[in-house]
Amino acid sequence: MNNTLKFNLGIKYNLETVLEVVDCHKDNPNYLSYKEQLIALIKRYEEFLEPKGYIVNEIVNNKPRIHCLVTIGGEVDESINKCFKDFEYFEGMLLNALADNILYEATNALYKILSLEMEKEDLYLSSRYEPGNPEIPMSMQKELYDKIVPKFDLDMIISEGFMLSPSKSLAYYYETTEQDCAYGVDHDCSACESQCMHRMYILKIHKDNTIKVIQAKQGENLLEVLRRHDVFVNSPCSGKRLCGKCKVKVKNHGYKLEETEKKYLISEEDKDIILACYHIIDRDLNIYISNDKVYHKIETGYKAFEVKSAKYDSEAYVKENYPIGIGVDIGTTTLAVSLVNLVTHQVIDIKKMINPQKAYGADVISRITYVGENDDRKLCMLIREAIESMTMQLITENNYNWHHIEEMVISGNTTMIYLLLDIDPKALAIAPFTTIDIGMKVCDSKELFSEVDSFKVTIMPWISAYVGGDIVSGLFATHMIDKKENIVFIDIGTNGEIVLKTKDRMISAATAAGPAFEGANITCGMGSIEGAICEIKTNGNEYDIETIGNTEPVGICGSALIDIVALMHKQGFVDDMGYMKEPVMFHENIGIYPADIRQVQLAKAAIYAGVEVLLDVAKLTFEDIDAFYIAGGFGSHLDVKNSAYIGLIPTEVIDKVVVVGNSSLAGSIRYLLEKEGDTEIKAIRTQCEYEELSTSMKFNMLYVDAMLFNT
Amino acid sequence: MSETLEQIGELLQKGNMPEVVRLCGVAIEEESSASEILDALLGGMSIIGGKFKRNEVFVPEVLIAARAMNGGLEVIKPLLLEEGVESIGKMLIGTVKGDLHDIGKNLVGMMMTGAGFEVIDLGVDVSAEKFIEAIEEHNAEIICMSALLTTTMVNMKGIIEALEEKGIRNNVKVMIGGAPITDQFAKEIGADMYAPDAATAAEEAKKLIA
Repeated sequence: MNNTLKFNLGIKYNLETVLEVVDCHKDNPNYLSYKEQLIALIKRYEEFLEPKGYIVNEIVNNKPRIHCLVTIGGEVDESINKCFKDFEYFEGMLLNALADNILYEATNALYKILSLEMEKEDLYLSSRYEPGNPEIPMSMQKELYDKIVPKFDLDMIISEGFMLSPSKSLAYYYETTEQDCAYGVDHDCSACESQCMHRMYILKIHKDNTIKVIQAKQGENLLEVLRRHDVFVNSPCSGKRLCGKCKVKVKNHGYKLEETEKKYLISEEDKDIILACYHIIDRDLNIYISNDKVYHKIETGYKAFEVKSAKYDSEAYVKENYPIGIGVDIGTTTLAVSLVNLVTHQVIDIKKMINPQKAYGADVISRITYVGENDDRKLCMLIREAIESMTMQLITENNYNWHHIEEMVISGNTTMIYLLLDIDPKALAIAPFTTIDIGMKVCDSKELFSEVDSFKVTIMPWISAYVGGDIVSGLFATHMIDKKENIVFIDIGTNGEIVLKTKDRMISAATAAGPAFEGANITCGMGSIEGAICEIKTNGNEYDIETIGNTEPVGICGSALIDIVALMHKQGFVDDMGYMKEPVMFHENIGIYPADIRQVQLAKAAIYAGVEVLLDVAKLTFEDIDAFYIAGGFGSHLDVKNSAYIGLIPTEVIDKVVVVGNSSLAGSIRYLLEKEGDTEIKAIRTQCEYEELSTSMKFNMLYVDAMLFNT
Repeated sequence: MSETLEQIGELLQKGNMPEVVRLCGVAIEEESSASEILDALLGGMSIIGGKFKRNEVFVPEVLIAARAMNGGLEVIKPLLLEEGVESIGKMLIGTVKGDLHDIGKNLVGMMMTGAGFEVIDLGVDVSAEKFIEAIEEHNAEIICMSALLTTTMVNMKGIIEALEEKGIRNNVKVMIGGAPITDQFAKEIGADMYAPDAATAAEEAKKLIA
C-alpha cells in the first residue's frame, strides 16, 4: 500500500440512526414529517457533506501503522451555527446529527477499503485507536494532526484542547497484525466506560465449532440483531412475546428474566436459555446455536395426479440430454423445491426447508408488518436466495447443471409471491385487501436469481389477497375444473382457504384460521418434527404418548393437538363452551393449557363456518357434499373422526375425506408437464368466484356458533 | 389572562412559530404589557419542559417549541427594554475544553431561556480563560458547564480552580451536567449544582438565584 493516500468516501447515512440521535423515535406521531424534513435537509446541503479520508502509512515497531483522518469540510459547521442563530434549533440539531452519521459511516467505508488492502499483504487491522478512548490520551490527536495535515496541506486547525476544526473530523490509527485478533471489529467499545448512545457490543455466535462475531448497538433487540445477521431463530409470533419459541442459549448472560418470560422456560433443558425477543443488547454475549432439527423431516408427500397431454415430446430430445424442470411451492412455513424430468415425468428429488422468512413471523400478517416497519428487501432476498440455493443443491446432487433447466414454476400464497417479486404487500393487510393483477407472470430466471443460467420462470396467478396461487395450483393438481360433483377443497395451513366446486360453479374463501395447527400460539406447540407428540392414548388418569422418532417428548404437533382437544372434551376437562379449569400435563412440563383450547376453538370455527357459508352461497347442505379434499402437510396426519368430533370438519363428511397433501407443489409439477396448463389455469381463475368472509354477517354468526364443542 | 395570551401559550406548545409571532403582535395591539406576553411565552415553555421531563414529548418537540418561543421573544424585545423588564438572571453556558458535544448543552440553554434567564452560549471546547473573560464581560451570575466524556469531565474541576485563583468563585454559581456526571462528582469538584436533565436544570437554576 502507498504511504499516503486520499479517498473520496461518498455520502452514506442511516436516516433512522440520525433521527434516533435527536430523540425522534418511530412511535412519535410526527416521525414521518421529521423524516421528510431530514431528507429535504440532505438534498439542500448535499454538496457540503462529502467526506474525505486521508491516510499516512508508517512503520512503527516494525509493523505498518495506519494513521487516518476523515473529515467533512467547514461549511457544515457554519450552516449548523447559522441554524441556531436563526432559532432553527431542530434543523440545526438534525444537520449536526446527520453530519456526525455521515462521518461515522465514512470511517466504516474506509475500514473496509483498508481491510482489503491489508489482506493483499496478509495482514489484519487492529480495532481502531482513537484519542479519547481510555488508553489513548487526547494529545494523540495532535500527533495524528501533525502526521497527516501537513502532508496533504489541509485547511484544518487544532485547538489547545486538541479539538479539530472543521469539527466534523475524526483522527485515529490502526495497528496491523499477522493474526486476526480483532475478529474484524473496527470500533471496539469494550474498554470505554462512557454510556454513549453509539455504544456497540460484541456477540460471539458459536455454531459447529466456529465462532462468528457480530456487533450490535446498545439498546437493540436481541432477536432483531440475530435475524439481521442471518442467525436463524424460530420466532412464530415475530418478537411480540406471545409464543415463547425464540429460545437461545447464552452462557453467563447475567440478564434478569422477566416473570412472563420465565413461564416459557420451565424445563431442565432451559438452563442458560433466554427468549431473544425479551432482551436488549447491553452487554457482550456468547451465544450457542445448536444444529436445528427443524430442517429435517418435513412432510413431502402429495397425491399423484395425471397429465392429460405431455408438454415435452420425448422424441424431440436425445436421451442423455433430457431437460429438467423445477417446481417450487413457497409456503408460509415451508419451502419445497422439486426436480422433475420433463420427458419421463419422473419427480427425481424433492427438497424442503423451513421458509427462512419464518424468523420474521409465523403468519403472513407478521411478515407484511415487518415490511411496513422496515421498508427493506430483506424478506424478498431471503426467499430468492433460498430457492436458488436449494435448486443448486438439487441439480448438483443429481448431476445436472444450470443449463439443463428448461423452466421453473413457482406457486405460493399471494403474500409469498408479492414478497418474491418485491411488490409492496401492505395493501394485502388492509381492507378491502386489493391485489394488483399481474395475471400469470412469466419472467426470466435472471430477474429473480443472481447466479443462474437463463430459463423461463412462471408464477402461478392468484384469485385474491387470501386465495393465492397455491390454491390455484392445488385446484389444478386435483383437476378440479373437470369435476361434476360437489367438492369441498380446504387447505389448513396458517391461513385456511376453502373452495367449493359444484357442477357449474367454483367459489373460494379464506379464513384467518391462525397458526394453531402449526404449533404456534400453543403453549407446548411445535411442528411435526422429532420429539413432537403425535399420538396419545389414555387408560383412566394415565396418558400413553408416542412421539415422532420415539424420543423424549418436546412438544405437541398440530394433528395430535386435535386428538388431545377431543380427548380433553371426552374426559370432561373441557366443557362445551371450551372452558378448561386448569392445564393437564402428559409428561413433566408438556401439557395442554386453557389458552390453547381457545386457540383451537378460533381456528376450527373459522374453517367450519367458512365451509358453511360457501355451501349456503351455493344453496347446498353438508349432506350434498360428495368429496371433502384436505390439502396441506398438516392434513396428511389428521384423524378424521377426531377432527369431526371437535368440529373442524362436518360429521357428514367423515367418510368422504380425501387427503391430497401438498397439492400446491403437485400443481406446480403438473404445470411443468402439462401441454395445455396455461389454458386450464386461466379457466380456473375466470371461473373461481371469491366470497369475502371478513365482512360477511352470515359468517360471523356461524363462526360464533362453530366455536362450541357440542357433538 | 386574555384569550390571545392563552392562545400564545397553546400555539407555542405546538411549535407554531408564525402564529406565535403574529399573536404576539396582536397582544401588543390589545395593549397587553410586554411582561404579560413574556409570562405567556415562558408559561407555555414551562409546560413543554414538564412534559419533556415526564417523557410525554421528546427533544424535537422541545426544539420546535423553543423556536416559537424565541420568535415571540424577538417581537417583544424592544418593549421589554422600554418597560425595563429584566431577565431573572444572566448565565453562561458552554461545553468544556476538549469536548465537542453540544446537543445536551443546547437543550439546557433553551430550557434556561424558557425559564426566563438571559443565556450567553459560549459554544463547545471552551477553556477556563474564555469562561472567566465572559463572566467579567457579561457580569453573569451562573455558569453552566457540560462534559460528555470521562476524559473531559476533569476539565470542569480545572475551570472551578481557575475561578478560585482569580478570586471570583464566590461571584458566580456553578452548575454542571452531562452523561458521565453525577451528584457525587459535582460535590467533589466543588460545583454548586448538578442536574440530570435539561428541564430539572432550569428549575434548579431558578432556586440557585432565588
